[in-house]
Amino acid sequence: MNGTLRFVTALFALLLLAAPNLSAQGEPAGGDEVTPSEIRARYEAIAGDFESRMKAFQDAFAELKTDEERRQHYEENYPDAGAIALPLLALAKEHPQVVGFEAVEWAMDNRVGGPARKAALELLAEHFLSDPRIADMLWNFAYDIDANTGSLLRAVMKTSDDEKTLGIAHYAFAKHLQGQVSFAGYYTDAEETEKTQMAEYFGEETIASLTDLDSAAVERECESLFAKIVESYGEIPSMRGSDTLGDIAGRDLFELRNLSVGKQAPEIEGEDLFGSTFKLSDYRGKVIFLDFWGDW
Amino acid sequence: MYPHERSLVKRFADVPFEILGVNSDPDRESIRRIVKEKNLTWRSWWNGPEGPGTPGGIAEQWNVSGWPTTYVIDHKGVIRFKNVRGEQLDQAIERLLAEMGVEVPPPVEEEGHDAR
Repeated sequence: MNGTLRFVTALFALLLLAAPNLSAQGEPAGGDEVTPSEIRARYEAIAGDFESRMKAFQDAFAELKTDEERRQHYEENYPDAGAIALPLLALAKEHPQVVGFEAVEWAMDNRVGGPARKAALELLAEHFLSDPRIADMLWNFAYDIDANTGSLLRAVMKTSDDEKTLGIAHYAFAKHLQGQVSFAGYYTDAEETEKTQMAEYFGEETIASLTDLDSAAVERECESLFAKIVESYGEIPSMRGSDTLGDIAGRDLFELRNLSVGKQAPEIEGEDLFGSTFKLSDYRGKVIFLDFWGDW
Repeated sequence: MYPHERSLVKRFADVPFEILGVNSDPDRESIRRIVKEKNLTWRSWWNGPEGPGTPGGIAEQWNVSGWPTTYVIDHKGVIRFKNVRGEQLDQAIERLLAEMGVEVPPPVEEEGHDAR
């Protein structure tokens, strides 16, 4: 017994001695022996560099006198968040548990597009689907129409067990679907040159998936998503003032059920600009152009 | 938008057609002045901005999140078009008037531009 134990201890000590040697002789070990604080320091260096560039940009901007100078300064010197996000996300990919979430958040806050956005979504999908910290980030996806956004939200809805995350994911997914339908309509009606521009911006893949949409089916899906939000996630706060998710999804549900083409217009009753009361139904028998407007 | 709306008022003056607005400007006094200055002869409910101290409500019930949001409603009160603009708006109105058996007046020249 004693002999064996001594042998094991000796072997262990030998390994400890040998290990640094081995890694020193071999390939650099992908940053394995870097400490979390070193990783954080690297992260801060990259993000901090962006911040100081942004500050320099803003300071110079404040000094400029004419719109033309400002426009030129903006075009030439506005710091490119996408270029910063790529190394940030590459570092995050190597060390997702240390700086992964921060990097994704950074990319979202700075509204990066293209390959950086794709990398951020991949990181999110791979490591953070069930992380409750992603809840508020999901609002960003409500008005994105690309197919990657849809798959990510579906995955969150399947994976997360956090109520707030689930509620926001359902809402963002429904709005994403509605955005796809209205974009598809807009795309179909567009001129050829506009179509080419849209395809360049959103990518052929997204355009193809959009033009195949069955809008009636999407509408039914949205209706059941909004109804589910009202029923199951109604109390969760929304991003809009004191409104809950139930309030905003309820209005979307009302719009789908009562304000679609083919529905009887709901009554409107109230005071005009000068204080006398009138109703929409007073004008029955006439064709009405109803304009929600503001002089701004 | 105002010049187009004024041209609709002129073109469809003698047929069963009406523009109705829901105005979300915060200051009722100044919007009263603006409709007079800019000759906006059609009637608007004053919705005001959302929040305390204004009637609010209409734009919220109609789930309006961008301005202008527009609807074309037929003589039976059925919503028939949403957010159609320019020529398509004229065509929508023409179609609904024709459904009523009304003779559709020819287009009129749109006057010069002003804000909005």
